[in-house]
Amino acid sequence: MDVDRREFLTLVGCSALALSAGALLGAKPTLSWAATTDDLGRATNLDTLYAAVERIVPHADPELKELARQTARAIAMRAQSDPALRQTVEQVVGELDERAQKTYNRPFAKLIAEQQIIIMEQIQSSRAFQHLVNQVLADYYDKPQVWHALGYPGPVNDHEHMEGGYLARGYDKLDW
Amino acid sequence: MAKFPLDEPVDVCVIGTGAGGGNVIRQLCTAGVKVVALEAGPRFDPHKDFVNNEWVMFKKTAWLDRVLGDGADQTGLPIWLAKGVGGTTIHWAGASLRLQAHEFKTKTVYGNIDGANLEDWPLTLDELLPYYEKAERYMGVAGRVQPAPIGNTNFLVMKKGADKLGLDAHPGTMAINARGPYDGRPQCMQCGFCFQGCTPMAKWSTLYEAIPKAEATGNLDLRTHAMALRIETDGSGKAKSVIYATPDGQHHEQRARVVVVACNSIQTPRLLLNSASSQFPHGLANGSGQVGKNYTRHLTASVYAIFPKPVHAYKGITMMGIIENYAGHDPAARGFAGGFYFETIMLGPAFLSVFVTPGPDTSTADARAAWGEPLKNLMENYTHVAGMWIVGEDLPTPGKFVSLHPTQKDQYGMPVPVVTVNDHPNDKAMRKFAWERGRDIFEAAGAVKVYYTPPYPATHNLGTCRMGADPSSSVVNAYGQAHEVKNLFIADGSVFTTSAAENPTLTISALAIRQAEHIIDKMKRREL
Ligand SMILES: Cc1cc2nc3c(=O)[nH]c(=O)nc-3n(C[C@H](O)[C@H](O)[C@H](O)COP(=O)(O)OP(=O)(O)OC[C@H]3O[C@@H](n4cnc5c(N)ncnc54)[C@H](O)[C@@H]3O)c2cc1C
Repeated sequence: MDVDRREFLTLVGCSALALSAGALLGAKPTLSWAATTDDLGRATNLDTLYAAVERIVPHADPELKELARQTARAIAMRAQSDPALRQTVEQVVGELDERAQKTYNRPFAKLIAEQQIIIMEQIQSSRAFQHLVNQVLADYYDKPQVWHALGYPGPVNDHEHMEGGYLARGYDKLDW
Repeated sequence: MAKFPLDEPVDVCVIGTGAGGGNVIRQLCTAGVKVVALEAGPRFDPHKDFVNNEWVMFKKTAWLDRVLGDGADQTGLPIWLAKGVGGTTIHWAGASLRLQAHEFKTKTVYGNIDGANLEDWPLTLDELLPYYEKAERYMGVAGRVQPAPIGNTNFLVMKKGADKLGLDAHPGTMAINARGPYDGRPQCMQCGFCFQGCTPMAKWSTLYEAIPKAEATGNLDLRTHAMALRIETDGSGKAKSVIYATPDGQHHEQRARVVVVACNSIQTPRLLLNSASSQFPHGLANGSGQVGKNYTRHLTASVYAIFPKPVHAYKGITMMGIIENYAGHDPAARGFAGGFYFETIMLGPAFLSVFVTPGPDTSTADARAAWGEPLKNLMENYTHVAGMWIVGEDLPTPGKFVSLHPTQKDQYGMPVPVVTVNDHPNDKAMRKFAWERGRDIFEAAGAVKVYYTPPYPATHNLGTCRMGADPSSSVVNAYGQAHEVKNLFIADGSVFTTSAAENPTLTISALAIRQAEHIIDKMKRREL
C-alpha cells in the first residue's frame, strides 16, 4: 500500500502537472484526503478512478494512456477541495467496485477491459457517472499533448503563439 | 474618456455595453449626448487577454454569475453570454443576417398556432432597412460593405453536399474583415478562434469599435465592474436613477434624464423585475405582465459528420458558410411554421468532446454523454470532422420565460434568474426536419458517420421585453421605449417580438441605432 500512498503524495507535491486551466480553477491541492483516509481503501479507489478514466477515454496510444492517468490524478486532487466533485467521484468509484466485487469477485481495477465496460454500462445513466464523464472530457481534451496526438494544432495566433492564422496555410484548400 | 462626478445627473445612463448598449452609446456620444455606461464586467485587452483556448476564454469572459435552468428542454448550462465591455460581441461569430419581411408579421402570416404566443412586430422591414444599412457599415459586414469571405475547408465540405442536392451553399454576410482591413482594424488571419474573442480585432465587437469611438468624443464615462441592481423612479413614474454596486461592496446612485437598459434578454428582465416598487408592484414597466415572458433562444441544433478524408474544419472563419434554402415559411411542404439556416460551425477538441454528443451537464437532463469507443472514434477522427449549425425560428410560448428565483440570491443580494424552456411541438418538428436535411447534405458529401447534436447553452437570448403596438400585451414600443415609463428604453435582444430565424445581432444593432436617433431627437425637442 505504501506504493500507492507515495503515488498520492507525489501527485499532491507536483502541483505543476499539466492540468487543464478549466478543470483546475480554484483548486487548492492539500494533503487532507490522502493523509486522513485509510490507505487501503483510498488507494483502491484511486486505482478504480484510473481504470474508469482509461475506459472513458480509451485511446490506445501509450502517451495518450499516460495523459488519461494525469486526468484521473487531476480530478482526484481537485476532489479534495471540491465537495461536489468528491461526492461524484466517491459515488462512481464506490459503485464500480461494489458491482465488480459482486459480479466478478475482484476490485474494478483488476478486471479486464470488457468486464469494466459491462460494469460501467450498468451505471452510465446515473447523474454522478455523467458528471464524471463531463469532468474527464473537460480536462483530458484540453491538454495540448492530446490535441497534437489528434492532429489539432491548438493555439496559433495570440500573444503567446505567433504562428499566425491559416490565411496562407490552407484554410481554403480541401484536397478531395 | 470622460469622468463625470458621481453625484451629478447625466443625460443618459446606459446599462450594458454589448451589441445593443454599445451601438446606443456610440450614437449618443457622437451626437454630443453625455453618457454614463455601467458595465458589470471588466474591460479586456484583446491583445493581452484573449487567448486561443476554449475553456480559458470561457472562464475568463462568460457570464458565470448564477443563472438557473428549468423546464424539459433546458440545458445543464442554460446560457452562454459574456460579461465585460463588448458583452457577448466578444464571443460572437459575426454572422450578420437581416430578418425577412414576413418574420415581422408572424401572427398574420403563420396564423393561430396552438400554444404559441405570436405577435406582429410594430415595425416593418422597410422601416428598419436604413438602420440595417447603417449597422452593416459600422460593423463592416463582409458581403455587404466589404468583399464576402472566402470558403474555408468546412464550407467546402458543406458545399460539396449542397451542390449534389441542388441546394445553394455560399459565403454568408459576416461582420469580419474577411478580405482586407476596414475601419482601422486589420484583415482576418483565418485563425479559427472566432468564439474565443478575436485577438487581431478583425471581427466586429463593440469593445473595440463602438466604445472607443464614443470615448473619443469625451462624452462617455464608462464604469466597469459596475453591476446595476435597481432602477429608481420619481413621483411621476419616470425613471430617476440607477443603483449599482461596485466590487468594494458599495452601492452608488447614478441619476439620469434617460435610462437605457441593454443587459441582454436574461439580465434585463431580471433588473426590471427587481425594480418593483409600490408604484410598479409587478416590476418596472411590467403593467402588461410580459417582462420575462416570450423568451426565445432560437431553434438550434447541429449536425457533425466524419469523412473518409481530412477536413481540418477548425481553420478559418468559423461561421462563414450558409445555406438559405430552408429560411422561408413553408408549412405545407415541411409540416411546421417558420424557417432555419445551416451555418458552418466547428469546435476545438475541448468543446467538441462535451458538446457534440453531450451529457446532462451541457445539454438536457435526459442527454447521455458518449464515452469509451464511440467517443474515441469521434475524437480520433477530429481532423476528419465537418460541422453545421442549425439556427431557426423558435416560438414564444407560455412555457418559455425568465423569472426571479424566490429565495436564491447572488453575490450582490439580487435574486437569481431562472430560465425556463419547454419546446413547442413546432420547435421539435423543425429540429427533426433540419437534422435530417443536414444528414442528407453530409451524406451527399460522403460522410461515413453523422451526429445529431442537440442545442448548446443558449447564445441567442431574445424576447423577454417584447416590443409591440399594444401596451397591454407588450413591454416596449417600436423604439424600445417602455410603454409605461417614458424615459426608460430597452436596447438589447429582449425587445424582439418573435425570434425570426436569423442570428440576431445585426437586428439588435439596427434597432439600437434607430432607438438612439429617436432619443437624440426627443431630447433636442425637450420631449425627454
Ligand atoms: C459563441 C457565440 C457565438 C455567437 N455568434 C453569433 C453570430 O454569429 N451572429 C449573431 O447575430 N449573434 C451571435 N451570438 C449572439 C450575440 O452575441 C448576442 O445576440 C448579442 O451579443 C446580444 O446582445 P445584447 O445587447 O442583447 O446583450 P450582450 O451583448 O450580452 O450585452 C449585455 C451586457 O450587459 C452587461 N450586464 C448584464 N447585466 C448587467 C447589470 N445588471 N449591470 C451592468 N451590466 C450588466 C453584460 O456584462 C454585457 O456586457 C453569439 C453568441 C455566442 C455566445
